[in-house]
This record gives sequence, C-alpha cells and structure tokens, in this order.
Amino acid sequence: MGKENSSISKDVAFGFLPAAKNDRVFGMWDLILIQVGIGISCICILTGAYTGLMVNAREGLGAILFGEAFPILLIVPITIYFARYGIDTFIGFRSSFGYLGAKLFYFVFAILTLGYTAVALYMAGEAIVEILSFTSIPAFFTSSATGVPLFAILLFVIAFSVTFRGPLAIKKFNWIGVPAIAILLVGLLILIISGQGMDKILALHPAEPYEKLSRSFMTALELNVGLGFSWLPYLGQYARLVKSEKAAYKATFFSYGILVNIAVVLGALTTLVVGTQNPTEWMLAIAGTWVGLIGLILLTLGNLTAAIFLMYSQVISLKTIFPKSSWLVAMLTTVPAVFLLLSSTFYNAFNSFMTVIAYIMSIAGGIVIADFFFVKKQKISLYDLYNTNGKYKYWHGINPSAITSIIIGTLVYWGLYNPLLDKASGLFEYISAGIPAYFASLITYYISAKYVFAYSVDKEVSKKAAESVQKQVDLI
Amino acid sequence: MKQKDHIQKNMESNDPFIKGMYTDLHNRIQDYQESDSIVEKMKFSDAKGSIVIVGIIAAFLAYVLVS
Repeated sequence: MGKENSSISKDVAFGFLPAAKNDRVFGMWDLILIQVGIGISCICILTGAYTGLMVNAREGLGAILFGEAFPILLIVPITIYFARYGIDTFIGFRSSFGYLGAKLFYFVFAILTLGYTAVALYMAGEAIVEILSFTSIPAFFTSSATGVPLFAILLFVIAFSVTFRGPLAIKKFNWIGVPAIAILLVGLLILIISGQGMDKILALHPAEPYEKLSRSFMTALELNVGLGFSWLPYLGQYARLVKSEKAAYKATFFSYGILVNIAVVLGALTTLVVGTQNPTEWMLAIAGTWVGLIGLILLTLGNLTAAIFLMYSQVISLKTIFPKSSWLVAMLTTVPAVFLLLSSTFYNAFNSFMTVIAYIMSIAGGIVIADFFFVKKQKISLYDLYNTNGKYKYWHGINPSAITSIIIGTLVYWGLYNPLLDKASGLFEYISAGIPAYFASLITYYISAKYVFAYSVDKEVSKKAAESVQKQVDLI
Repeated sequence: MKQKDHIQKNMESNDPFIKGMYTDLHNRIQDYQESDSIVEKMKFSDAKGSIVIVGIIAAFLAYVLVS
C-alpha cells in the first residue's frame, strides 16, 4: 500500500497547491480531449434519452445544442480565474462563498456526485441483469427488483476498492472504460443512422410528450440546461493546469458546451427510434442479440469506469478541502450512494435530479461570475484564499451576499418551476427557469456585495479600480 | 485579538505531510506574487468565437420553434 499512499498524497498536494509553471502541461487540444473523455458518459446519454421522450428530433437538437452551449457560455469565464491562479474549484470559490461557504458548496457537489455515481452503477446493474437473462440462472438474479440492486451494489464494491487504491489503479481502469464508452457511442450512432436513415428519424414522434408542445420543449430545454450548468464544480479541476487563460476558456467551451452533445444527441435519437429511455433496452432492440450483448458489456464497463472517476473526484476534492482527513474516512463519504441503489426510485427520477441540479448550479454560477468579474474585478489575493482566517472570512466564514443570492435565485427558480413535482408556471413555457435564476442570482449578488453587505475586501477593489481610472485620466 | 495565520500555523505542524505541503504553498504564493501571473492573460476578443457559435445555435433554435 506504500506506493498507493504516496500517489494519493501526491494527488492531494497536487490538487491543493496552486499550479506552478512546470505543472502547466495542457494546451487547448489536450484539455479538450481530457474533458470530452470525462464528459461523455451515461449522464449525457440519459439527458438525451429523456429529451427524446418529450420532443421530436429537430426540437430535441435545438434544446440540446442551446441547453448545453448557452449555460456553458454563461459560466465558462470562471475558468479564467482557475487558470490565472492555478487553483482548484473549491479553493477558488472561497472568495465568493467564504471559507465555510465553499466547504458547504463541496457538500452540494458531493450530493451531486453521489447521484451521478448511483445512476452510472444502477444502469450498469441493469445491463448485467439484461445479459444474465440469456442464461438459466435463478430468477432472483435476473429480476429488476432484486438482481439490478444486487449487481449495482456489487459494482459499487468493485468501484470502491479500485478507488481506494488510488490513481495508479484508476489509470489502468480508464484504459478499458473510456474506449468502451467511445466504441459503444460510435457503434450505436452508425447502427441508428444506417438502419433507420435520417429522414425517418426526423419524422418520428416522441413517446411521452406533455399536452402542449411549449411545455414539452421547455422541460426538455431545462433538462439540458441542468446538464450544462452541472459542469460548474468540475471546471477548476483541469483548467488550472493549462498554459494560457485562452486555452482554458476555449477548451472548456468546446468540450462541455459543444462536443459532449454527441452523446446527448445520440441518446435523444435512440429514444425516438426505440421508444424507451432505458439504454439497456436499446442494445438488443437496435443491434440484435450478439452485437447487443457486446453493447451491454461495453455499457457496463463504461459505467463502472465513470463511477470510479466520479468517486475519486469526490474523495480527492474532500481531501483538498480537509487535507488532514484520512483516505479511508474520505472514501466512506461515497457510501451513501448505496442507498440510492436499493431500488429504481432514484434512477427513474433522473429528470427531476437534473432539474434540481439546474436550480442549484445556475444560482452558484451567477454568484461566482458576479463575484470574480463584477465585484472583485478579477483581483484576488492568492494568500487569503489559503489563509482561512483571512480576507474572505466574511460573516463566520459565509458570505451573506451569496446567501442573499441563493434566496432570491431560489424564489425565482421555484416560482417558475417546481422540479420535484414537475409543476410549471405559465411563464416557464417562455423563459424556462435555470437561465433566469442564473441572472437573478448574478444581479442580486452584485447589488448585495456592493451596497448591502459591502465588506472591506470588496471596497478595496473598488477603490483600487477608481484609483487606476483616475491615473489614466491624469495621464491623458 | 488577531487570529493566527492559518498558513504559518500549518508550516509548523508536526505532521510532515502537512508541514511540507504548506511550506510549498508559501513558496508558490511568493513566486506568484513576485511574477504577478504565470499564464498568458485572455482578451475579450478571444471569446468572440464562442459568442458567435452560441448566436448561430440560438438562430437555429428560433428557426426550429417558428417553423
């Protein structure tokens, strides 16, 4: 375990410390490849699948492209912050949320990651049950009520033990899982396009639309907006390692805003063709028995790797925030995912889960953009980001302006759309909910930080900016 | 009463991992402050491509919705 412990410590220090010049190894294309590899996952496929249940191919394409690209355009400028200072997301967010607030935001990220991990593992469990249904083993193992949770939990145990061993073991797994999901996506795309033809696909009707087209379209859009905003906590992980701010910005926009859409579009088209949003049912319906079985094996491997990556991401981020916690304790924070695997309830509520993410991340996005660009005017004290008794302590470690923005953003989002009950106001059908909540949160944060809870750290920046403008005027 | 600096405190930690990490942190922050920035800064013009692409997507969306 010595070698593994050392590689974990190395990863913790690497994630915690601001990236030095020799750590800046990524150019734009390197970052695009890494982020697309991470981004294309079962989450994208399922988002597309639910889109394909509600709208046709043309409307789905519009909802997917806009739903991913626009939220990313709204939040991608924050990668400039991570690239400039070489810091990870949760250290960077200390300037806007406060030291304790950034820790609380980590727990929101952890819940999101637990949800993603559970979705990946449950889908893998379903794929195993589908494969086993071709054998003559007892019905207990092939029943969706007992077999799927059983295999999903077994896969959790495998993912846990691989992640526990640290990055060396994970790297080996990535060589299997990432190509598996890539082969699966390309194979499915070829089979659908060649088997059906685009004209036929464009003429297909969705299986479960709402009564009104505008309601179907906006709900599909909101789902995709949720996916777009959901990348927010992941933006700092690799953007801090690029050679220029421009590379971080462009690579993030193209990977998360444009290229991962391949998987989302594929999910939507396949759902339209097959009529169900369940990826494990697509394989046999589209590819026949033998190729379908290979597809199911690839889906299992891809989802297991995704779960390992998600687990590691959650645990290493915890260690970055609490460097003194032990690796085992950090690993145990992934265990609640097991409760989400006990039945299909959470997996079947994936669309509600994504809209809850749209609600949380759109508000957080508005806060961090307003803070870095409009309140702090891109002037951050690197020392105080790490000195947790420093400038960003605000009120007991929490920034009241962030709290105010969360309250106003919540009122706006839930006033427009209730993601848990899927109840929408009349206005939702025109303006959706996540994007207005982003702007409400951004404007509220700006007003609050400038005029209501104006802390010295924000006033200093305004004073410095005014002095700089005066200097330029004097020079003229 | 002024609270003790978190970084300085951890640089004196008994845990060699914490002590080493915070000492490295202190040195990196000093390097950063001396050189101001170690990466090339972005200009607004660098964002034009992404704005144009989102504009095209928005136009496509509008076309889909009205047609």
